[in-house]
Amino acid sequence: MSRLAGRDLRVVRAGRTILADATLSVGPGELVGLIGPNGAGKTTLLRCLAGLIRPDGGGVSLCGRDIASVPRAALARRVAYLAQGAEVNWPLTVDRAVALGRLPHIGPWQRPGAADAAVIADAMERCGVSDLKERPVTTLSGGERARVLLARALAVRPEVLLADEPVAGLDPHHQLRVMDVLAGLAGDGAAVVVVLHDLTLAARYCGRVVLLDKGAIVADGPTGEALRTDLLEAVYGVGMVPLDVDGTRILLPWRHATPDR
Amino acid sequence: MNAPAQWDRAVGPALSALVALLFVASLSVGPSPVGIGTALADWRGQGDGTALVIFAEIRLPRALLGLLVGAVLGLAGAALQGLLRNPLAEPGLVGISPSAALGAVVAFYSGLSTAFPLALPIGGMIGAFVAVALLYALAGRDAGVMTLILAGIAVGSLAGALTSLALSLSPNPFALTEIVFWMLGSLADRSLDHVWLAGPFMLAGAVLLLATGRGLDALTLGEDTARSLGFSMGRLGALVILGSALAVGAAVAVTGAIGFVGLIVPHLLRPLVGHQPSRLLPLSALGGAALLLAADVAVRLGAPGPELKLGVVTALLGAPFFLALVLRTRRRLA
Repeated sequence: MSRLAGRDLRVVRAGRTILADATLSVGPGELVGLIGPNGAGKTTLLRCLAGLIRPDGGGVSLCGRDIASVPRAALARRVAYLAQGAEVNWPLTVDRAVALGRLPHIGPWQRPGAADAAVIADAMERCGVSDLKERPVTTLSGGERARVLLARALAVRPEVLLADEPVAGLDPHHQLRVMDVLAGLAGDGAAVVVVLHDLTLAARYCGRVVLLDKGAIVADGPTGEALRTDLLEAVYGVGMVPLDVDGTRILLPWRHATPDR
Repeated sequence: MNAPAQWDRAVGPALSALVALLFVASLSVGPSPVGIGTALADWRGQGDGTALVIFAEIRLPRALLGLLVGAVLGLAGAALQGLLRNPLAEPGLVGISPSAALGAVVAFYSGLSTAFPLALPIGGMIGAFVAVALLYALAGRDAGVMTLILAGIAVGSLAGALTSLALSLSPNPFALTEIVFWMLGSLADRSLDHVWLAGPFMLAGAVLLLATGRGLDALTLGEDTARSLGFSMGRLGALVILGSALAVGAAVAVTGAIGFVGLIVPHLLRPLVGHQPSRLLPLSALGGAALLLAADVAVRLGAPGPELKLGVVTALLGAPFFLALVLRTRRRLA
């Protein structure tokens, strides 16, 4: 049973088709890696799934119900979206930035309670940012900041987490930490979709991989099957070297593909 | 940098006490030696009544307007800065103040204000609403922040140009002087009628602005994240713009252009509340009231002779402040 499902999603902007009838669903406990070249439509697909843009065709359903009919506030309590780019406009302290994740659960004139404080503390703990809680977010390193914003998304306690390139620009240590948190969240029963550029991380962490090319889904399946050398070489235009590490088959982008592509 | 957490709770009560003190000071200061005591004695029927007249018709409207106008200018500044996520935003920037001024100038210029005194504030509010309508036509309902700023600059420039046109075509030098003096901004010589006319609009605007706190907090993390947290950007923008138009339009119409309060006050208070937009809103209202009341007491305590215009004082203080702020922002980005 899928928790969040997008069906035949079509998005056209200024006459250009950005998503061409993409169908993608994610179930509880799943960590799905969404991969594809730049401009393939990964962010657009994720924003459609999050209900941030209304597709020109198709629809998205949450536990079988069309999200267009779910009130925005109710949707916000169930689906968390981690935007690309780690935007923070004011130098809020870390604990206050993470606390923003509780906003969907708090009434307009209500104050956050002890239960909210516990959720915030837990989210910071999971992401390893508890020690930073008094620091202004704007003074943190890129890796620390990415983890703070991930903690913000966890503070929603979502049923579905949609994370857009949460490891972009991070060093290997922080990449693994972020992926560990996402895997832990899926292990707790959430449905997680993560946009990745790193095929190795996808192979290492994701049970399922969805490959997007020119707005269309060209592969969707268990990681070992979806990450096929020929398919990736055709989509990325890069020659892949297969390697086996700890029993996991990973594909390493190694050289430009043959010039006839 | 952020102030220690214990300051956080102390700022509100401290500012409230300061505002109360300055309000009493504003009631007590003036060219005639009338104190609150004498006015109260008059009210009980123990005096000749002049003190009460001075108090009720000169001092009280002035103090009330200082309180209300300062509060809405500070509040509107904080809300606009939260919406545009830019510490340099101000009601003047999105074209609201210049358009309100234009509306009032038209009321002056057409002679309506001599026949019918309340035409002036009404003209100001109409100006502010026309600005908002134009802003929405130009920027649309779900417009981005940059579009809103550019549309605001365009609307403000148009209002400024039309004001200059009205002034340069003015056939009557007396009216011209009156308009120019009015545009400098002042709380002097206003009556309780002005308070009753503008007050409800300022209060309604303030309520709309205060309701935006949580949405502005969420917007700290960008528009997509704010929407994913359940906030509609169209509704948030409408609340801020409509609230500012009601509050600032009414304020400018009654007092003329008093600039920079919405810029200085949120900037000074922001570090004391950990830069959180929702906490900044009520405090900026208090801070704005305190600043305007203090400045208005100061112009009355100044040298004898014609009193300095309040708008001139806030501009003299505010413009260098604005420049310093721009330089600091620039250095941080460089």
